[in-house]
Amino acid sequence: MSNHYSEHFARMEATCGSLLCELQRLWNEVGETDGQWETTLLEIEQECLKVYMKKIQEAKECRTKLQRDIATAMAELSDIFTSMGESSVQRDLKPGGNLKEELEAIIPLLEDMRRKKVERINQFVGVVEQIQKLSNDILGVKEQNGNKVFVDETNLSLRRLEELHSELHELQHEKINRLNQVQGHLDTINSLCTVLGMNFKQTICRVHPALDDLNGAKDVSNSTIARLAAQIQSLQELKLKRMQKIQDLASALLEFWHLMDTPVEEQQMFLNVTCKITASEPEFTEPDLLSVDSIEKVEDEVSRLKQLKTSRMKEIVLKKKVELEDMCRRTHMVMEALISTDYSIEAMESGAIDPLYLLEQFDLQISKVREEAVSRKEILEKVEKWLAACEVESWLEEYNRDDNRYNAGRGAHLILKRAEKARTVVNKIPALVEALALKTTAWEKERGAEFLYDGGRLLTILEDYSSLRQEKETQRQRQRNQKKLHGQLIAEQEALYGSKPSPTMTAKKASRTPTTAASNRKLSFGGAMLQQVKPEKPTSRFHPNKKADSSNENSFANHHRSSGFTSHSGRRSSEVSGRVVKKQPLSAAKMREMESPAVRKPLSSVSNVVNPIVEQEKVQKGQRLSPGCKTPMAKASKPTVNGEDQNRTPKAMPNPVPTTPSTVSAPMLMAITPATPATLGAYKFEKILEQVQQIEYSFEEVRAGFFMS
Amino acid sequence: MHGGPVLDCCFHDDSSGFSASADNKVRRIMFSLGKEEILGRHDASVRCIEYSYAAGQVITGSWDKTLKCWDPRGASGQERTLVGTYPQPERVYSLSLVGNRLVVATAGRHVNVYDLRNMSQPEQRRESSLKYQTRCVRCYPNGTGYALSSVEGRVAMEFFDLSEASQAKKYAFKCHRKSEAGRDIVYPVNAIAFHPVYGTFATGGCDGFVNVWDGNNKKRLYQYSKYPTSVAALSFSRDGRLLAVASSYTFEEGDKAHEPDAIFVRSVNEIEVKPKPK
Repeated sequence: MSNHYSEHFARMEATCGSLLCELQRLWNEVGETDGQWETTLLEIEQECLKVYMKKIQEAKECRTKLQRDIATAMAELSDIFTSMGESSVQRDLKPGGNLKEELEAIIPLLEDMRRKKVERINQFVGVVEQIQKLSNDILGVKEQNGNKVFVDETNLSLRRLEELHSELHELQHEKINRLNQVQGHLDTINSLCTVLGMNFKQTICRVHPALDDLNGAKDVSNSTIARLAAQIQSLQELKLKRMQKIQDLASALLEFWHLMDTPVEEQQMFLNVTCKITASEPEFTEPDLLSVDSIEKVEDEVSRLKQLKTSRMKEIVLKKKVELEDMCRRTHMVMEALISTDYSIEAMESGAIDPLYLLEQFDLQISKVREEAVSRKEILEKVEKWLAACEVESWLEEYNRDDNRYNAGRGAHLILKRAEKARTVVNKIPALVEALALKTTAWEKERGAEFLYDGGRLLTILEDYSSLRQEKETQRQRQRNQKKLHGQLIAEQEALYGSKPSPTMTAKKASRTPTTAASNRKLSFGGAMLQQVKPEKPTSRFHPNKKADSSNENSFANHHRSSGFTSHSGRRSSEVSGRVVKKQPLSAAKMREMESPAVRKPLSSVSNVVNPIVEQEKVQKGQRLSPGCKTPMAKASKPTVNGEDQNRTPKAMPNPVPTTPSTVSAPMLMAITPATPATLGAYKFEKILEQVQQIEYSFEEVRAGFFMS
Repeated sequence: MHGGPVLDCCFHDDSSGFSASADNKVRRIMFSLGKEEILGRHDASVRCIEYSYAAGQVITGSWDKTLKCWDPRGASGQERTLVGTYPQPERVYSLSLVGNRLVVATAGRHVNVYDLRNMSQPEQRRESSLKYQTRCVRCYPNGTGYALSSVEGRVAMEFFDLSEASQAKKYAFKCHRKSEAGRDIVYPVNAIAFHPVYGTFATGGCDGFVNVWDGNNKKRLYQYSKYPTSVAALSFSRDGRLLAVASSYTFEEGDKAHEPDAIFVRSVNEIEVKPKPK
């Protein structure tokens, strides 16, 4: 181009020159002055300069613009390069090339790079968006669509992209981890809930409502995870607690089973619990194994077995008590002496005393008693022998009293033999008692305690028995002496009167009195009296009757009524009195017969021989029965009798109320008018109570007033 | 001869006693001689009579609302024998002696406790703790208190000592009742008698039963079989081996047909009257 340029240039110069030459010529022709020529040349030069200058200016401007454009483009390109992290290699800058060409070259490059940049930006945006979403998820912030994603456009390098990608990966990992964690927690909670028998859905919904949704997005925020962890913690604590409780209960169960030999069927139900007695926490996985119900069931079973044990204990204690009582009875020991505290069933049931303690005590006592029983054995045997001998003795006594014993009859010889044997036994009794006493004293000395037989000191019993025996002996002697005397008396009488009382009578006398004495211990006084009075009885007893001969009938009748036992009709009393009167001539023996039954009548009084009248009453009492009830209303017959008895003994005084008013001369002075109670009619108990509010009356007042009105 | 019903009597010694009659007179009765003499008079029926060995006096309570003390050693005639007259708030229904103490129960549920050595005024003026009419009052043989029975089948056990400790021991119990168709039929308890040896006591009621009670252990010891009609009076013999039971209709239901009167004397078994501590 420069060549072309230079040609063109030369031509132009030539042209100009020629033109100038022409101009010169013209001017010469015209005759213009040199000065004007100079000025016109200057003008033409200046004008030409201007045009050139303008064109140069334009060209300069163009050149500047181009340069500027290129610079801008280059700047942008380098920008992009830097931002994209590539070295800004200006490889397209061709030295020697013109600017337009340069620009032409740069533009597409720029375009290209711009495109690349946009691409890169998009990539970044994508990653950053994801990152943001994930971090939102992780932080638990709700996603907000339309949030402008911030991308740092200054650093779009691949390295940065790599960084972002790795960040994204991390977050993804994190999210997956957290999801796994949450799932893991949920699984744990699920298993815990199964074991504890709790509702899984309810539990996790309490933590976060969305967790229940299987398909929905799970919240994986820290708080959620923390809450899940806390829930797991609490559930595990609960599980541990229940596990310990159930293990304790299970061990108690095993104890009870062992103690009471529970049958296998009963054990079967709780095997699932007892087999886990040494298990650790993770081994408890069976559903509902640790549920509230399950634990309650085991608790109930334990308490049931406990009660069973206590009742069995009580049974055992009772058995022991019975055994102890039995032993004591057999060895004739008294239990109260052994046991000081109250080992009664009531004390045990009220829980005041532990059955185990009682059991121990009883065992102790039993062994003590056993040991003592062994040492007592010998003496007890001797006591048995002695008691048997006493029985034989009493049989012998009885036999001796039987007067018919020598009469020949069926088996009489056997009885005679028996009596002989009995006599030998009886003779040995003193020696037996002596030996027994010696043995007992020795035993007492050895043991340092008294030998008690059924609560009483054996030695005292033996002493009493010996003294009693001696008394009997002396009594027997006395009897024999008396008999002798009596025999002498009879003999004297015979000598005086020349007759002997019939032997049968005397025999009866002899037989009768001892029986009365023996069988009627309570009334021994009476019996003895009978015995002593025996000889004189027939005569002395009827003396008072004979004395009061004249008024006998009446007095008896009055006694009858006056005793107030029963109110007999007039006829009845005369009957009785008749009987009484007839009694007088009876024989002595018969009289005694009459009296002995009378003495024994249950409701009769003690015989008081001092007052013969009382004795008569006694007889009448024996016949006392309640005849037809006739109310003690006024009887016309009585008042006359009353008049007679004015001066008699108190027993001869009449009787029931109604008779007296008719004879009383002075009216009864009552503090209260009798009329008032009378108007009230039939007195029911309630009415009497009512009267309490008005004026109250006692029954006696009412009755007295009633009869007065 | 008595001019009216004999409402009460008591022993002086083995040969004599005293009687209180509805003819207003107090008599001394000599058993052996078969004689009697009038000791004094009241203005109305003499309801109860006791002889005090400590004071050597006869004490009578009457429906004329007075209590009179008589000296039996004085010659007959009211002026010489009457020792004192003591007004009561109401008609006297029952009285009992132990040692130097006298308990008087009157109508209107009054109870007066006297010291025989100073009769000018009662030692204690009390009211029966039962809500119904008093039937009988008897002192404990040990002299610490008295038993009081009412017409409502109840007996109250009271104590003389007014200290809190003693009053805390007092109680009342229901007795002589019959349960029929869900309701209780109550009978008056007419008589109380203390066993001289054991201190337990028997009560007799209009239901015809005699019950023996242990007041200390609050238990009934025995119940004798039913008597033909109401038990009007009870008395133990001095040695406590016999119990006399008066079976006689006491007119609690007015005038009606009834069993004949009878006195039963029964022997007393130790097991029926001996206290049984728990």
